[in-house]
Amino acid sequence: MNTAVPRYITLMRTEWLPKIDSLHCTGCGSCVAACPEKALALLGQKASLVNVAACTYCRTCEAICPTAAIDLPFLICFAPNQDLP
Amino acid sequence: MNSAAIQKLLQSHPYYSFLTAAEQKRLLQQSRTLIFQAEETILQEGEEAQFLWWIESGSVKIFKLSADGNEKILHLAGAGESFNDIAVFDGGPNPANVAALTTSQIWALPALLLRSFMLENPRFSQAIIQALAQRVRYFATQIENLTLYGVTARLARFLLQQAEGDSILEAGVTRKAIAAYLATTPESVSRTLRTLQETGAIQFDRHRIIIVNAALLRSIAMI
Repeated sequence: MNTAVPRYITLMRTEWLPKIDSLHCTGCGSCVAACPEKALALLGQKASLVNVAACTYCRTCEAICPTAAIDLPFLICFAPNQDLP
Repeated sequence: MNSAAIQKLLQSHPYYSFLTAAEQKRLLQQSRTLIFQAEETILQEGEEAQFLWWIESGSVKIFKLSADGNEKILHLAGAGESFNDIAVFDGGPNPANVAALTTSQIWALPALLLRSFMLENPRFSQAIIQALAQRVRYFATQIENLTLYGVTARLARFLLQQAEGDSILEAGVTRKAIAAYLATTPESVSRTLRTLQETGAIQFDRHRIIIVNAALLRSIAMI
């Protein structure tokens, strides 16, 4: 281990989509109402990404969820020519 | 992972490689491998530490829980790294909780055997001291960041360090994980990311946070 921030290897994903924690989702529907692309719906009283292709990763659902049950993982990178001090 | 690949990964560990071939063989003979599913608890704070845990594949979070159940992530570890070293070497209880983030294959190396190697092999002991000293330095940096810099500077530092680190295919970091690491709230992380976006230091591109003006971000980070 060095003094740098540990690498965040938190989620190994094959596709980049909102991750909904069904244990913390209360089924309040805030995200469903807020999603501008209508990608979310309540299934069995839990939020669910029903239209994967429509999701634009806009972060609205993550921001509005009152129980922080929705997570969007991000890659952090430099733009070309920005990676040298 | 085949045994040659496991050996190669073990040799990259900061102090395992200082064991003699005979010690390595003895250690592996007395160890066992376990598979943990995502979110499965591996260790609980306060329990007796019987093993040093070494990750063959997957990743784990090492965290504390506050009285109201909020999780504070202290460290994340991936393949090739070990955890619970402190408790193994000071003989105390597990200092934190550990849970798998992804399906993980993890080796349990007996603490008693490792402690006996420390008495017999000074190079191994020296390598452990060096690794633990690096950890002290790491936590000193963490304390410095928490006490000297505000959330904006800390987040700017975090983004730069993540972008400068080894990139791992398909890896990702969530707002919640950033908040836990920076000792702030997810809402604060969102607000601060928006501020950094408005200053022109970063841009969002679907699942990417792109540093478009590194010089500006470094100045915000006070680096």
